[in-house]
Amino acid sequence: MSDNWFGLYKKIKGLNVKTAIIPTVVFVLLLFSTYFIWTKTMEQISYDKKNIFNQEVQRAIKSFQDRIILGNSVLSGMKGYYESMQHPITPQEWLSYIKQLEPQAQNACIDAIGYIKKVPQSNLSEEIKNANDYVSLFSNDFGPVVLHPKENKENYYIIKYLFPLDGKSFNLEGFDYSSQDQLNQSIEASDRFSTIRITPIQKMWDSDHPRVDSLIPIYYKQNYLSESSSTLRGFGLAVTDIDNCARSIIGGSIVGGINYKAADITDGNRVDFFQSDNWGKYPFQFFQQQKVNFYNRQWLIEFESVPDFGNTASNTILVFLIPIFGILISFFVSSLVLMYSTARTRAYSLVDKVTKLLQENEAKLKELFYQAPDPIFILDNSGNFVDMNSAGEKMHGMTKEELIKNHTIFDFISSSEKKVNKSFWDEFIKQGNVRFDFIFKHPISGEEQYIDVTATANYLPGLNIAVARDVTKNRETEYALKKAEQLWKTIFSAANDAILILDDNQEIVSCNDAAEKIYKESKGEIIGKKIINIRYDKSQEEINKQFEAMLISDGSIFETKQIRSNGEIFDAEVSVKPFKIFEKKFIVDIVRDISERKKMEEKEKKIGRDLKILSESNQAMIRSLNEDEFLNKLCRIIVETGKYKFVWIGEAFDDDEKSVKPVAQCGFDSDYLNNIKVSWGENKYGVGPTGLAIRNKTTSIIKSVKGDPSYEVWRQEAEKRGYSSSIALPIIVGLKVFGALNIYSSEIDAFDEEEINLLNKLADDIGFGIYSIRLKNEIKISEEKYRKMIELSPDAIVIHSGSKIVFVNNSAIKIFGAKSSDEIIGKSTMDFVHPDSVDMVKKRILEMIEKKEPVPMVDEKFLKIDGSAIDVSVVAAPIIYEEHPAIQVIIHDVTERKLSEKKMKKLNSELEKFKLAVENASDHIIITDTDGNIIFANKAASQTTGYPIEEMIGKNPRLWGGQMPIEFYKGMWNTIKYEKKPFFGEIRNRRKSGEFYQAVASISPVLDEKGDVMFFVGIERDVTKERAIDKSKSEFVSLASHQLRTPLSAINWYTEMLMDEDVGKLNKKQRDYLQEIYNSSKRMTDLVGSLLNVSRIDLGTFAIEPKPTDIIEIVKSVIKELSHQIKKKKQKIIEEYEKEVGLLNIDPNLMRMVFQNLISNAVKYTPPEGKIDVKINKVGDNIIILVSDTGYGIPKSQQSRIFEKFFRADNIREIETDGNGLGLYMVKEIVEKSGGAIRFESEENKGTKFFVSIPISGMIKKEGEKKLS
Amino acid sequence: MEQKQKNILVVEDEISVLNALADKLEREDFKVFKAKNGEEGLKSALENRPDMILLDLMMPKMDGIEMMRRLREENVYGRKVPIIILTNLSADDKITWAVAKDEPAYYLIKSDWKIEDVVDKVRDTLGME
Repeated sequence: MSDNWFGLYKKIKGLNVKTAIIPTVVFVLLLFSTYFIWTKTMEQISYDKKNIFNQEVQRAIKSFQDRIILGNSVLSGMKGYYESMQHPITPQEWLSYIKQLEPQAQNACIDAIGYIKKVPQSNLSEEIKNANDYVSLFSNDFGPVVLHPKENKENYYIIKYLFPLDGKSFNLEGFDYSSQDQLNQSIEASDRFSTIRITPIQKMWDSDHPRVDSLIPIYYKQNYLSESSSTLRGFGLAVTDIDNCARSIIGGSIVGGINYKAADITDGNRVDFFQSDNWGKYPFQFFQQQKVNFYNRQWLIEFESVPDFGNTASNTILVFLIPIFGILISFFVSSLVLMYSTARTRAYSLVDKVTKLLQENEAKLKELFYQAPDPIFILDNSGNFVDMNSAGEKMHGMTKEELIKNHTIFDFISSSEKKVNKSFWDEFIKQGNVRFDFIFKHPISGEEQYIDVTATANYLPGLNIAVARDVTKNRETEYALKKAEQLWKTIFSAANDAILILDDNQEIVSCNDAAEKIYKESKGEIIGKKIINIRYDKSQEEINKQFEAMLISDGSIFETKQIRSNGEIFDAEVSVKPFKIFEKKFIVDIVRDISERKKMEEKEKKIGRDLKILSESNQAMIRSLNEDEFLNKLCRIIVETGKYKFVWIGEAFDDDEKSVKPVAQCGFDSDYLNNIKVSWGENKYGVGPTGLAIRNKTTSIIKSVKGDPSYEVWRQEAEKRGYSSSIALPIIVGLKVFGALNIYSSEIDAFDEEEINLLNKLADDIGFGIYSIRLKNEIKISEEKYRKMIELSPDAIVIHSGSKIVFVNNSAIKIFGAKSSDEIIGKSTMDFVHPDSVDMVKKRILEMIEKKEPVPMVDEKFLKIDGSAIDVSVVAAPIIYEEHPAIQVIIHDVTERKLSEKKMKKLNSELEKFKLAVENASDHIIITDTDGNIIFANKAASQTTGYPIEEMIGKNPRLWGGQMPIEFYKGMWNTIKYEKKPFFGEIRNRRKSGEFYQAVASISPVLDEKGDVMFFVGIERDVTKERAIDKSKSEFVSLASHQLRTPLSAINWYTEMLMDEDVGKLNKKQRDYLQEIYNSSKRMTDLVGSLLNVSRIDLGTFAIEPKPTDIIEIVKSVIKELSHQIKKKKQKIIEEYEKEVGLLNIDPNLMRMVFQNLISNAVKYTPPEGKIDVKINKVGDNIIILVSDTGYGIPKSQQSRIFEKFFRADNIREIETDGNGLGLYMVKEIVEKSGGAIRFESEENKGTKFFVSIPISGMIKKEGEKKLS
Repeated sequence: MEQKQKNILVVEDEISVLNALADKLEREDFKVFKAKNGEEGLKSALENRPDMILLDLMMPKMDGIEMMRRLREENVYGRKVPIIILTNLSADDKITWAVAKDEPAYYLIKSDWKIEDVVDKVRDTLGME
């Protein structure tokens, strides 16, 4: 079950999902593709538009020119016509002329003919009327147009179009004035014409004929009166011959989406005529201009397109739909991807959670499952058992394994169950959830139970769960009540005993069916008889007497003899009881024919024997714990009690021969079993009763050994021993045949039906006995296992039952600090609960009792036997212990854990402090990972390097380092990374500002438990200033000493040469003076040397270079050097050196300086004939040097200052002028810097003792640039 | 036993010291060449091939170390001639040691030595009585 879950989980977890990235990429790609397609489409559309525009312009110009040509020719024709006619032309004449023209010319040039007349304003109305009269010839005219010049509204031209020549075109401007309103409108509208430049007529043919030539706009109108809906669609040249009622529109290119502008440029000035309303409103459109000549004038015609020019429906769709669809699709697709990814991610986390929950709950669920009081079964779809809890095993009286291996649930449905069967089960599988009850047959006891089942089909694929509950008692009660009524009815009619109802006259008033059988006559015949008629043994008087007694009794039973209708007399047992119905007395008289029973009494004696066997066998069963003992005991009981010749029990083995081997026997055997062979297989040895019994699970009887052919194989041996008949009964354990019980009798046909029945029961008992013995043993073993487990559990286990502890394991004894379980058992668990935890524990106990579930683990405090507290984590569960409800408490000692938690807490706070300290340390501190990437830097690091902390994190210290030779860094990395040792050194670095600085660095690897490097901690200190100062100091000192010494050398050498009398003899005075010069110069030289040493000491630049040295040799040579002075002062020097001192690891040069100073001081400050002691001893781990003298001593008040630089005590200053006060300072520094110590004892005028101790391990090595000299 | 007069080159920028040494050595019967700096010293050494050179370290133009280095590189004579370094710089100056060790060179601190002792050291080094 759990394997499936984990399998699924692993599969899904194997995939790696990048939830957000893929959808984003998809979205961006789709957007880009959309943009690309859109721009390409736009380009194409724009290209197409321009082409169309150019074509349209060309076409318009061409059409325009064509029409001018045509117009000219038509007008020329008109001129000719006029001239030939010599009078004002009438409409009819005009029409007939027009009709002569070519159809093309008509269409192209002359759209209408009409009437035009110049009238003064006063005559306008009349003239219009006339005009109407004039044109009434034509049916489909559309009214005159009234023209007037803009400047002069006195004179009007009335133009009356008669009809459009083609009879259909309403393209032209025209105005209706059929009503006064329309006339007004027409007049008003005619103003528009005045905005058109009306070119004065060029006299083309005759000055008498006024004519208007104009370039006119052409509008398309839905309704030509409505200006608002007009759309400029083209332009044309209008030629209006006023006198002759002729007006022609020439030209008129009509192109959608193109704006026009026309200007007269004949005179070199540009005179604008007209333009489309929207001209120039749309920048960045297509534009073209053309010059056109007509009627001796030059016109400039300009074209521009409007934005929707050339927009086809498909273009519009493309332009708008591509981006819209593109964006929508992008969103849609990427959302789908995102949803998919998210869903998947969620699914994984869900699976994670579910898996975790499952894991966590599995154990608990299992426990609940197995310990549930109701039987729970897990079944597959065919009704096979898959799993069950112990209650389920108990219900069937079989182990889980047996049930799973050998049974389906259908094996346990009672044959009396009608509803629940295979098809019911199949229906349930389809339905899912069902609750039903059925009659369960116990496989061993055969007992039937009503079982209520709550079942869920396919709770996991192919698995069904059923929870059963024994409701037999409920059902039985129900049935009993329901059937009670019926029962009484049934009893009355179906009872085997005759039931007679007698009235108080001893007459039978009712009877049942059984009465018919007993008295062998019909009910009708029986009813109406009196008692005397059926009684054989009593007289009427006796009956009367008895009857009276009956009526007042509580009922009685007696035996009597009665007579049937056929005269047969029989023994009867009569039970009578009186009852009343509405004050009338009746007697119910139950008559039982006991003649058969009487016969049986004989047999009963024999059955009594068998019963004895049974009861004894039951006793044996209860008492025996051992199978062999039980079976042998049984055999003995059967032989002894049943008086059989021989009994044996054979066990059937599933070997090749299918043999039956005796496991118990009793009676007269005489080696019978050793001489025969029995099998339960289908062979020669398997045809006997034993074989048949086992094979067929039925009782098999040999009535006569002599006559039965199936007994051939064993007959001889059986007869020898006097076995005349035998019976074999199968012994069934659980559902398997264990073997057979074989009984031999010396009588032929010794086993009658009753005996066989009883023996069968006996065989059943044996089977059950074996089963229960085995069960007992199994239980014992599993109990033993559990007990061991608990005993050995490292966790303390306490079982608490009936308000006291009834069991503890060894761990519990230990945890409570007891010596034995006796100290704990019998006390209450609460005695061991710490007061802090009492409330919680009580709460948990209540919860556990209420829910009957284990309570989860919590931390509590318990008390030991001695009253001390212990931290524990506790889990408890209700259990049954020795058949009583109890609580099992598992206690885990968590003292250690608590302690370490406390420690951790403390450690953490320490770490926090440490972190704070590091943060604010004045040294530059950084922490890097193993590759040198900075993961921490403190403030000082930022200040020193000049890089802000944020800039440092993640970078390598090369950010400011890398100024040293590569070898330096190689060595450093080798030390810290491979040797895993701290590195110390001085590094030249560079600040962010570019300034170099010198730092003393220590870099240490931080190792983990395995010894692998986790981090490097680098601590640096900017020592640039110190170094600069040091450098300048030491430079100064070196220079000073050199410069001072050089002249001193010259002084010395010249003095020496003089004193040696190299250059001539000296008198005494001269010699003395020279000696003074020389001494002073020498002192100066020494002082310079001492100053140099002191400066090196102060700078810390002097080196200590210990090597194995004989200290005694040094002291001796120093004394030797001073021997001259010692002798001179007649001093006594005593040397005492311990022999074992040997070679010491000391710096000989420095050691010599120590001795030189101490001993020369002693000599210098000890009066003549004084005593000087020099001793060297080994004391413990130290070498102690003692230099003592009997000199002037050091005044007490000045003793504290003697190691100060340039200090000289007052008393010796007067005595000995030679001395610079630097000696003891140097000695102290040398001794202490090299790990030793110095002290002194002094008393004025008595002497001084200097003690110097040097560790036996020697002086501490010190790297330095200079030696002291 | 009559010994051939030995030639000594003294290289020293401090004239008083130079003269003191030269006078003393001449009185002790050495032939003395004087040089006031490394440059002169190197020139004189290669010209006169003295048996020994007394060499100061801190000098103008060319210091003693440089002069010694060049001399040692110059030829067989230069490599073999014993040099006594006479200086007031401390003996532990690393540079000095680097040059002086493993060479036929000796190191004296002027202020520590009497002039008589210097002459004795010269005699010693030359293997003279």
